[in-house]
Parts: sequence; C-alpha cells; structure tokens
Amino acid sequence: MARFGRQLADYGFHAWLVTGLPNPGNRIDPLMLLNGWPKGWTELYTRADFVQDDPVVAHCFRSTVPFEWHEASFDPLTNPKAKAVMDRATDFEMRCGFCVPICSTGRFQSVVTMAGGKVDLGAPVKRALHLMAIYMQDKAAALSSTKVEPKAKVLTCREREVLQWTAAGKTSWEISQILNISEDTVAGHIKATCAKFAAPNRVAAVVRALRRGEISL
Amino acid sequence: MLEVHIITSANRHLYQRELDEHHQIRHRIYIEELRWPGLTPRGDNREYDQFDTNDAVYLLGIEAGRVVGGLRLVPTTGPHLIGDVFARFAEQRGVPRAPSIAEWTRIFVIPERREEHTGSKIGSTVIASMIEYGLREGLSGISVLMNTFWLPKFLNYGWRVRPLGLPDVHEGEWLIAVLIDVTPDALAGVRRDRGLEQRSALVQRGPVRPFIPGASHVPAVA
Repeated sequence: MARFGRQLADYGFHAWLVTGLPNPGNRIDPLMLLNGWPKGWTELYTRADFVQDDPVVAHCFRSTVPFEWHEASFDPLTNPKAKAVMDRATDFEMRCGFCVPICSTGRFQSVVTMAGGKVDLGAPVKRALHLMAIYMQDKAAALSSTKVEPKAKVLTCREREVLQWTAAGKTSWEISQILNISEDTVAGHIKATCAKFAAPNRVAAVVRALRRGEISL
Repeated sequence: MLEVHIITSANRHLYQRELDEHHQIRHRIYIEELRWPGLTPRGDNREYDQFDTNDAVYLLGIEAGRVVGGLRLVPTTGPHLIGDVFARFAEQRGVPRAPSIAEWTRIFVIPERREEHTGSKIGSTVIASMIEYGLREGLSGISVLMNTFWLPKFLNYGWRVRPLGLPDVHEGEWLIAVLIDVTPDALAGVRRDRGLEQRSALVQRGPVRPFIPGASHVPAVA
C-alpha cells in the first residue's frame, strides 16, 4: 500500500482511494477499502454526501474502461451540484484524476481513483496505472474481507429472538409471554442489543440488525 | 446436466456434429455479434482461424446434445495468438513457450444461455473444467490474451495471474496478456467463488491425445 502511494506520487498523484460504489441514496464510507485521500477531503466528502452528485462516480457506473476525470462530463448549468463537487476537489489540489472502474462478481462495483494537481497521464503511465489499480483493488478487498468477517454476528441467540419479535411488532410484555421469561429480562435483552448497535431505541436497533442480516423479515 | 467434453485430434471423429455446431456458434458470436476485426464473414457461416489445427484441443460444454459453451487450447510451442500476432502484449515478461503451457482462446457461451449480472454458470463450469483438464494433463500454466475486465474476476478466484505485459488498447478494447498458474488451489478457488459443485464436469469419450507430447496418459475421468 505504501509502495502504491509512492508509485503514484512519482506520477504526480497525491490523492487516491480504493472503494466500492454505493447504489444511489446510500453512503460511500462503509465501502471505502483503502483511503489515500487528504483527510479534510474525506471528511468533507462523506459529511456532505458528495457521492450522490459526483460526476466521476456517475461515470464509473457507465464505464467499464479507465477514464480521466475530465471525461466524466456534465452540464454545470443543469447540474450545479456536480460542479460544486469538482470545484471543492480543486481546493484540495485534486484537479486532474484517473479512474479505473472494477467489476468483480459477488462484490460491489468498485473503483480505484487517483488525483493530483499536475499529473502525468501519458499513454504508458495510464497502462501502468490500470494494471496497478486492478491488483491493488484485489489486495484491498481481500484485506477488508478478512477484517470484517469475524465480527459478522454480534447478538446472542436470545437477543436475536427478542429482536425478531420486536420487529414483528410485539411489545415487551407480549414477548415475555411468548418466550416465557420476565418482562424485565426482555427489556434487558433489548437494552443490550441497543448498546451493541449504538442504537438510541429499539426501532433503530431493529433497522440496524436487519441491515446486518442478524434478523430477517 | 452440463458435461464438458474433451475433444482432441484422436477422438474428433466422435464429435463431427458438435465441432461443426461449435464453428457455427463461433461465426455467430465472433463475426456477427462481436464483429472482431480481422475476422471476415464466411459463406459457410462457420468461423475458423489459423490456430484450428490438429494440435488444438476443444473443451465443449454440451447439454442435452446441444453445444452451449466452450473454449480452445493450443500448445505454446507452436503457432499461437500471443506468440504470432500479439507479442507486443508480452513485452515485459516475454511470450511463454513450453510444452506444459497452453494458450487459451475462444471462450464462449451461447447468447440464450448467458445470465445477466450473476455471470454465466456455463462459462464458469467451462473455465473450471479447463483448470481441471490442465491438472490431469500435467500443465503448469495457461496463457491468455483477454479483456482486462476478466483480471479482477480471476484474482477473485484466488488465482495466481501474472501479467506478461502492460494492458493496452486494441481496436477500442483494453486487453492484457497473462499467465495463469494451473494448481489444485486454482480449481478449488474458481469452484468456491462461482458456487460450483466439487464434482467434475469433464467427460472423455474415446481416445484422447495427451496435451504434452509423449506424456503418459491419465485414464479417463470419472
């Protein structure tokens, strides 16, 4: 990873990111695999949810071949939000960029994107970057899947059972009758579940558990 | 059920109809559908090139008597695509030429059996069968010139894939030449990633010529 960054620096790229691409309306930060962006840019990009309007991201969904950022064209008059994203990027000295979209079955559509102020994008460099990006994305995905898997399931069987009934609209008292346990015990399970998901209440806990696949409808 | 049949010069007489069907499919796909430059439509509606020789091995996916997918392997010690036509794609590592290295070309799945998004099960089965065939023939590697689109997929199988040169654009398509290691792990990896059964789909009917000349031949597969 450090070598990848150094190599990119040789070509004038100071910012790069290996990431999955979310479907419209979803956030990008959970899908980021390796982040070599300037810190401030990552913060701004995720806080302002730029991924929804980023013309480069939109182009990734249309293209299966590598492209330069300026090829991701948009009309600044009808799409001022796209222009705003690109303008903010230049504030971080990310004027020119190169993207390698990567599609591998069973994973999200991914991209390796790299940017800088003054970069070398001659044909030989593009060929090298293209190849490096594919191997880098594979390494990054492999690293992140080993990191994520162990924490896959966090709820105990009982907590899952209680939450499953909560999702079905049962009250704590009803659940206590169904499972033949005390209402306090039910409340305890729900409290523990909320803590595990950092959820403010049981509705939020249900939503998070559904998204993680801990319970199903 | 899909069976992947091994067809060499020694048993091709048993597959006249299937081989002919496969050349018609290739005409439909590579000339009519993909319009590959360098291939011209033929009056008999069958596609052949200079590498369809006695040395070529065809692995054809056959389902209910019908050819639904397949690919071709040729020895790298003789004329082959990377060696003779696209050597510029092997600039960095050179063209691999060895009796134990096969070149893979002309993979196809008939259009009506391609599944969107999930990738074709037929295609994956043919690819897994190619690795399995390589193992039983004692091959060490398979070279291929392909769209770069395939590379992340192969890495995802856990395959060891070494580029022979940098990717480059040819007739509007990004292509790369690579050498794939033939190992039991490669077979297990593609089966796991594509959710294929552990069971072999390879079928041998009649005598099969060993890929490596003079190699003692492994008996028919189960």
